[in-house]
Amino acid sequence: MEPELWQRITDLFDEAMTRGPKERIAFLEEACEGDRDLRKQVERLIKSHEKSGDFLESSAFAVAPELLTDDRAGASVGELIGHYRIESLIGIGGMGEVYLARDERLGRKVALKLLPERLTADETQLSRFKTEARAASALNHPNILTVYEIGAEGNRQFIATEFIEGMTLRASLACGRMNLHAALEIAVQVASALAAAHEAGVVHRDIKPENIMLRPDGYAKVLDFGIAKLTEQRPASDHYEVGNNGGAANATGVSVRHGALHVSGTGARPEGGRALGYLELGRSALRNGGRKPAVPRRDAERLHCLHPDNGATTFIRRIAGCSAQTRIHSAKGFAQKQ
Amino acid sequence: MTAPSPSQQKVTQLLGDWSGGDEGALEKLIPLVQPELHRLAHYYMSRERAGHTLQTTALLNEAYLQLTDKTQPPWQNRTHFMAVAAQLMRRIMVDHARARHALKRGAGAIRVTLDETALVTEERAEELLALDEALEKLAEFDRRRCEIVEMRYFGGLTVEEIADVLKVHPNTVKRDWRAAKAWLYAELTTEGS
Repeated sequence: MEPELWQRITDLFDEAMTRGPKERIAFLEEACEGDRDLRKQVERLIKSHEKSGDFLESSAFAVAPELLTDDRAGASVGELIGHYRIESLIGIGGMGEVYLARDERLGRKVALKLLPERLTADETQLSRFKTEARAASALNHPNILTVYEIGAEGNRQFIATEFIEGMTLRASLACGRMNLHAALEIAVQVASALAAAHEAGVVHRDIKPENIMLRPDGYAKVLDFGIAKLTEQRPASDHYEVGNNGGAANATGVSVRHGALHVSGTGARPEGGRALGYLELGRSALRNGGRKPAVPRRDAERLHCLHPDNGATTFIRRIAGCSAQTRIHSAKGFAQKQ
Repeated sequence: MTAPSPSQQKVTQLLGDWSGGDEGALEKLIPLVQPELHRLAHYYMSRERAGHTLQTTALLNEAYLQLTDKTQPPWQNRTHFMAVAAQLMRRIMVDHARARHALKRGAGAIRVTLDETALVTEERAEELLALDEALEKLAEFDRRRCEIVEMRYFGGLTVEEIADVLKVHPNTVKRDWRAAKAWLYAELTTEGS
């Protein structure tokens, strides 16, 4: 645009903005002196001013702070990290980047996770994370992602794990409807993984749909055991904490809240006395009911209505009461109950 | 007052050079300022989790205190530092957005996105790149309005502070901001115009 033309447009725009909508029309009619293009441009500016709302009103840092802190470890394709050759980027998350890599010694595919430096700077936290990740991996449970190696290349900490073909539960839920049976099938597997870990004294602390991988053959795998240790000093997000805190130190519950089926529990250890984990499932199944459930019991009823022949709903309804008596008392109990 | 560190002296000198018209000084400032901005951003983000909102002004104020040599009079004016910092913020954030964008393209189709925050960041990165491009366009015919957007959006400066930097009346800043915002909005929402 020519600066002179722009100057005319903005002058008229500023003038027009001092007037009410009706007078504005008359003003532009007169001021543009039949210059239709000029008038069009001023009107376009007024229109977008009216529509712009809070556009640019929050500063860039407030809107996208992660673009200022960006601390991607940034491996490149073909690079060798440890004895793993990077093949492609699989995903980026708050806890690091995950690459598909080839183990050059054993010639197999691995998922290589590079942890962001801000999470690994603290030695104590890092060593606690390693201890937990190793403990969970040592369980050799079919529903727990196997960790091959935890290592470092320069400043970069990495975790090599088995590579899973499939998608996360989050991605699967995003793809659309999941029926109750499929949801429960996953819930049982996840509960079984958590129970095994729980028994070995390992608490996940960050169970969420992003951390559950679904294999095409129906296996669900829980990822990232121990990784919450890296952020433990931070105030945890309440969003993923569910109900049963306080005295019920070993309680695990299933509840249907906010349109989602939750599997939750508390840690066995006093210091980890918050949630053992929580699993959000069946959202799309519930969504088909058309209304947003408000309270757990009613949600369960609604679920029952949707699937009247489903025996599982009775089970859910019983434990959705969220009372210590009716709740199944450990993740193991939940898995067995199925 | 404690004696300024060599890096504070260097930053202060570069700020002076830059305000004296040396465009190259900005390039030299970025590596000196960026780590501090990173560090502060982490700090503010961890506080945000405890219920604080992210304040660009507070962030840059802190950076100003950490980075500059206060024994030198020209840069005692923190507003001018803010104005420069706004440009630095824009460059740093846009560079990151570009790096993310390139990574995504370079990697081909990302099969799994592990985390909602990652998705959001991708989206913001793209939006920021589009805004940066639109600002470049705006600067071609209206340098001042582009600077106002920079100061306000990237530097978090208030209308009064911007007026102070540009030596104009706050009402002028308000009007210019309104027009710039409207133009950018049209530019970013209208296809192929």
